[in-house]
Amino acid sequence: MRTDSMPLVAFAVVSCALASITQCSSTPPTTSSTPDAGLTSAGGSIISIGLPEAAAGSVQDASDDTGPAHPLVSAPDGGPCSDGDASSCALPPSVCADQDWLAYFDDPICMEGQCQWTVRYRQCPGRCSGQGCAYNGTL
Amino acid sequence: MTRGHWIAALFVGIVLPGSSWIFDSGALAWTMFSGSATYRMRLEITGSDGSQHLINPTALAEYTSPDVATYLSGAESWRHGSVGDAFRVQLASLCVVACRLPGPPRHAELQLETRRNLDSDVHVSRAACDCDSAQKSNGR
Repeated sequence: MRTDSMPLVAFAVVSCALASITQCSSTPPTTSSTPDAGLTSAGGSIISIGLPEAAAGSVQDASDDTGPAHPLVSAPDGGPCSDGDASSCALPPSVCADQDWLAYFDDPICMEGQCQWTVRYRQCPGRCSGQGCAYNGTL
Repeated sequence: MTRGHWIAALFVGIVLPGSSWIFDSGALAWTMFSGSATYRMRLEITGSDGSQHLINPTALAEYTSPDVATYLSGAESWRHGSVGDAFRVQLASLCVVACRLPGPPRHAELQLETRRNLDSDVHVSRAACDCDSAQKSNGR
């Protein structure tokens, strides 16, 4: 092999090694056991899923005794259901309670033929926009 | 350029990213987040008593980094962002995160739907995890 080809060959070998490492570290769909795996996109690792509890913003139930730090939101009409079975209740879209807090709907129950929801609140790490938290900054 | 140069260039420049894009996650086909898409999630857990509950995916945000939390919030409805593929690749890990919800759940099933644009087909991915085995694995 010609010596002037050596850098190119070395680059190819390193690329293959990196490819092997990447493939081996991919998480199989049903066998992953760690929540600390990096969340990767087509561009590589960008964010980590695992963090200590309550590290990202905060959650507040409507029933908290400390009093809300945000406007209260009423749960929307959840539509009909039957026989106390809430399995047919579809999640309503989340809404912004204000520019910082997101109100979302959870724990459906079927009461008197109507889906009812628990309203929960989450403080966005950035700001609330539309039906979810918006990223403040650039990727 | 020699034949070796051409072969190496084709392998590194086309074969590696191309095969990654077609057969795997596309992690070797860097796209600078140009592939934003809409996505939404559905999370269903089975409690210790066997009852099933529909959970808003925003609830998972409590247990993730702020970056991930931002994109999980409101994900019960279609949202637009560059993380659809990333969520798809890490769906099993997110499913395990669901095992940390209060209860704790015995089983969790997470479904992710993505679509490139409003006219394209919906791509559905699913992950299911047994929380007992997941917690044992994490406790090692």
